[in-house]
Parts: sequence; structure tokens; C-alpha cells
Amino acid sequence: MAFKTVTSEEGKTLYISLTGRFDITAHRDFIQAYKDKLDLVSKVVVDLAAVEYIDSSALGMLLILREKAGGEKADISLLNCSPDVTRIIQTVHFDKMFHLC
Amino acid sequence: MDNILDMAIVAVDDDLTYLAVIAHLLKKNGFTRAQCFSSSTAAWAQVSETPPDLLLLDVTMPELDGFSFCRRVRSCDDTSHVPIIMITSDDDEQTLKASFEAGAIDFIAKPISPIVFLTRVKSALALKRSHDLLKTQNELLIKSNDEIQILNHQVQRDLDLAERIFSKIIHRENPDAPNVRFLISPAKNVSGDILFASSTPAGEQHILLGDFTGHGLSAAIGATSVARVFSSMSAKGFSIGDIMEELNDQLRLILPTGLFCCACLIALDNIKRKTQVLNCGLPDVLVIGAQGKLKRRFPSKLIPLGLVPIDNYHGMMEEMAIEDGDHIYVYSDGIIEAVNPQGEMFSQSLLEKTLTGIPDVNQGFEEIQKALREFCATAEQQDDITLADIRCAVTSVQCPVAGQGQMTQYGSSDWQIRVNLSPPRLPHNNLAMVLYEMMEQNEPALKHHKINLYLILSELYNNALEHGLLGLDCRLKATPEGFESYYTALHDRLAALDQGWIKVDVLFYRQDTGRKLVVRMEDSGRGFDFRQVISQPPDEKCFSGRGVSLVRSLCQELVYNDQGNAVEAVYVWQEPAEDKA
Repeated sequence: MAFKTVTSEEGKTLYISLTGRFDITAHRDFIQAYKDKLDLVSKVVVDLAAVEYIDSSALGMLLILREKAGGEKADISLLNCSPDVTRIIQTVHFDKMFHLC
Repeated sequence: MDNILDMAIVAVDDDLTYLAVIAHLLKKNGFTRAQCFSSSTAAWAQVSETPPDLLLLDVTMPELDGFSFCRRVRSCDDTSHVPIIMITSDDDEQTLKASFEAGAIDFIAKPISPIVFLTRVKSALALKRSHDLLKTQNELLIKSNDEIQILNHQVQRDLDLAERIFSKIIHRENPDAPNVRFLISPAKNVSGDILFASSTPAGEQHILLGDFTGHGLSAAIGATSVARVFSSMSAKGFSIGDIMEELNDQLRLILPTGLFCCACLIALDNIKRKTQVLNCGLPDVLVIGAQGKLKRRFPSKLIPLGLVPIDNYHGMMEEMAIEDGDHIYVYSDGIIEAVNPQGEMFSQSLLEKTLTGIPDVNQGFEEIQKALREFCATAEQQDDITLADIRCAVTSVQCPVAGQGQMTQYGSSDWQIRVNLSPPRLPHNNLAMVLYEMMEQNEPALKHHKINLYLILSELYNNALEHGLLGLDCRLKATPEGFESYYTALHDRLAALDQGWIKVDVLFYRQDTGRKLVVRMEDSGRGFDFRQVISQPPDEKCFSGRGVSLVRSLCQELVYNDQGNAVEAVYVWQEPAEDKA
């Protein structure tokens, strides 16, 4: 799992781009990507364009991110989900908790 | 020029006494724009420069006499419409005849009688004014007539273009699916109805029927956009909810206010034996069973496309199980609103009566057309009629043993992979990926199912390892910190593990009707209470516990043995056309 983290214009948005496997092997890197940064931003964008594999632990990690970012008040977008990933996210009703775009 | 007193008058007489009388009479009676000339050549210079509303001419003048002046005025385009009154002392027949022939409309005899003079001047001016008014209106009429003609041409050109788009682009893509029969009957030369079919990489069939308000160019442009979005998204495997949302967004951009598109999207999965429907403004979609009974209707639940933003299409999808030989009918309102010569409508009830009242359910399509023909008889078709009859041809991919609670036998498939794992060779993270890559080498077409197959392998293997062999409790993952410590504990326990095993079998079946992949996972652990896991949907906020329900949503079957230490997932699909070759 390779990561790219960018804090964008005026430091308002945290952009996290994932590559390859999004499962438990990405756990530490994923936490590093947002650790200490969530207080500084109002919005998080997770780009899943290059994700090839995903499993339920990734979903757990997304939920943890959401809780750390403010729970119900968190503004988290999942960017570039492929149709299959979209379907998985919809199956577990995450489309109600994250913005799919 | 409402007032004749404001009209321009030119008077010409070489006799200065008469000219003074004329000037006096005109001025005294309020004519403000009268000009008097004693020289006819000077007068002509003025008249030809600025044509007046009335010209008063003396007959006998040096240089240019009255008749010649008159003819010159008449023969020049700019002045030919100026009325002329001759003023003459010779009121004999000869002179009058010559005056009228030269183009005068009236004459005034000398000596001038003020009453006669004023009456004739006023009536000539009034006539001129009516004439001018008529002329202006006529010009306006001619102009607007030209504009109408130009508009007509434009409309015709647009209609031709729309027809071209429909016939060359849209209807060329008519559904090419053996199980879909369709009728597209436009009311005029250009239709506003569209019908497309496509299949997804996972072998689902998508059917779209759309009915644009109005015909012509906006419908045609909307339709090309719909065709493009539908076929590309369907080919990428998007769900009908996602496709509908994109169609709505596109049409909101393209369609002018007041125009919209009633549409219905149907997904048919002959292997998973289910259909999904999203009906946005079309008449009830009907599902007729093999015995000719109406099994289900899907009324419109959403407003037509192109009007307002909607982001909940996914949540509005309706689903039902289908059986072999079911027919799904989707149609535009043109069919139920078709009128007979008496002005009555074909109606929903007659349509349903026709479909359910026939001995052979496979004849429904022919029967509707027949009933419609007989009903409408000689009446002219008012609206586009589009009808699609989708036959459900449920397929099953056979394999020797697969029943409730029973496992598939090794060796019965087209190919298989068997892996036996025990410590210290129990990989924590990589087994699912390594297995998937082996499978894709055997069967390149699996790449369309990569995300799903990885998820199935990963979930089943992780469950076998973490819960079966290592006895970890997933309730540990209830907090973010617990999530962390769970994986620390996993590493520690895995390093210390010195006994136990996991067996993995992957079996692949290739059949005419589809493809089937069986993933079987067994571990030496004590098993778990899978019944409880399956019966309880995972808590939305909980960080774990979604694995089994996700696998279940992807698979046709997920079977555990009684103890819960062996599981078999059955994943089925239909190869899309390009992979069959």
C-alpha cells in the first residue's frame, strides 16, 4: 500500500490517496496519513482510484477515521470508487456516512 | 403622423400672386410644413431630395411645365407614390385628361376657392395617410411572414437532424439481446422514445426505456447523451441506481426547462435469479409468471429525469426473485393512451387483461400488438409507442454436489487449486492475494471480478485464521484502540502458534450457461456460531463484523458445516460476449 497525503489549499482539506491493497496491511500507513492532521482540516478526501483490493478491515479503518474526524459531524468523501467498490460500500450502507463521489 | 396638419406639402406656381394665396391659405389653416416654389426646377430638386406627402402643381410653367413635372415625379421610384393635385385656369376636358394621364389624382380650378382648395388638400392628405398606414402594415406582414418562413425552415432542419440522430445513431443501437423483444413505433417521423440494452462485466443485463416529453432536437440530443452514459456505465458494471443518478444529472444539464424524460431501468440477473427495477415516471412495469399470472407490478416511485437533483436512486431500487419463463413488460404511456376511432383509450386494464388472459405466456408480445391493432383500427396514432418484452431465462451452473449444508467434492471441476497450510507456513496477509493471482493466471476473465473474489478469499481466510486457529475475539475491535491491539495480539499469537491447519480449495466450473467458482475453506479450530452471525445484521457504527454479510451479498450461496469450521462460498456469473470468443 502506497500513500500520498496532501493538505490542500488554505489547509482546509486533507487528501489521502491509496494505491493497491486497502486491507489490514495498510493499517499503520493509513493511520499515519491522518494522524495529527484532523484538527487542522474541515474535510477529508480519500481517493480510492488506484485501489485494487479491499476487504472488511478497510471498512473498519474508514469508520475509525470517521470517528476521529468528528463522527456524525465528519465531512469525509470517498473519491473515484470503482463500480465494484461502490457496490461493497453500498452493501454495508456506508453511502449514508460518507460522500461517494 | 396622426395629424394631417403635420404632413409635408410642396406647392409650385410661377405666378407669385397665386403662390402667395396658396401659402396664405395653408398657413392660416394650420399646415406647418408647407413649402412654396415659384421655380419648378428648384421645386423638383426639393421633391426628389425629400418626397412630400402632397404636391400642388400649376399646369403652365416655364422650364418644367406641370405635366412634365408630374410625369417625372411618377417615373422616379422615390417619388412615384406622392399624390399630385394640378392647379389650372384651363379646366377644359383636354387639360383635365392630360393631367390625369400624367399622374395627377385631382385638380383645383383657378381662381382658387378657399373651401374647395382646403377640402381637396385635406382629402388628398387623408388618403395619403391611409395609404402610408396600409403600406407600413403590409411591410410588417411581409417581414413577419418571411420570419415565419425562416423559422419554419429552421424547425424543419432541426426535425431532419433529430430524425437523423434517432435513426442513424440511437435506433442503430437497438437492443441486441435475444431475450428482449421490442416494438418502437413513432407517432411522427421523429420519435421521443428510446430503448437500450447492455450487459455488465458480471453478466447482468441492463434494459433502459425512456420517453422524452416532446420530440425533435432536444429529445434527440438528450437521447444521445442517455445512450452514451447508459452503455459506458453499464459496461463498467455500475448499478442501475448509479446509472440513473448520472442520467438525471446529465439531463438536468442538457434539457431546457419544462422538458424531461420518463425512464425505467431494469437489471436482470439470470444466474442470481433476481431483477431490480427503478421506475421514474413510466407506467407500471409488469412481471407475468410462466402461468400467465401477474406476479408483481413496479409502479413509478420517482419523478422523471432532468427535473431535480436526486441522490437516493440506490435506496429506491426495488428487487424481486424471478423464475424461468417470467416475462417483464416495460412500455411508454403511448400504448395505454392509444385511442380508437371512438376516442376511447386502450387503457392499463385492457393491456393487463391481454397479457394475463392468454394460454401461452410466450405469446404476450404478439397478443398486445394484435389487440392494439384491432382496438385502434383506423384511428391515427397520437403518441410514440414503445414496448419491451424481457424474457427471464434463468440459468443454473451445474456442479455435481451442492446442496444445503453439503460441500462440493474435490476433483469435479474444470480446474482447481488446493492449498494446505500449517505453522510455521501460515501467512497472515498475503494468502488471498497470492490465491487470486493464481486463479487469474488460470482464468484471465476473472479480472472483472477481482474486487469481489479478493474480498471473498480475504474474509474467509481471515476468519479461519483469526477466529478458528488463533481464537481472537472480534469484539476486541469495538474501539479504535481495540482495533489496534487486536492486530498486535494477532501478530503475537501467530508467532507463537505451533499446531493446527487451514485447507483451501478453489474449484472452477465452465458451462454454456455461465461460470461458477467455489471457494472452500476449512480449519482445525472449534468453529463458530455462524447462525448467530448470519441472523444479526452488523451494527452500523461497529468497526468490525461486516465480513460474512459482505461475502453473503456477493455469493449465490454461502454454506457452513454444522460445526462452523468449514465454509463454502459459491460465486456465479455470466461471461460477457467479448470474453466468450
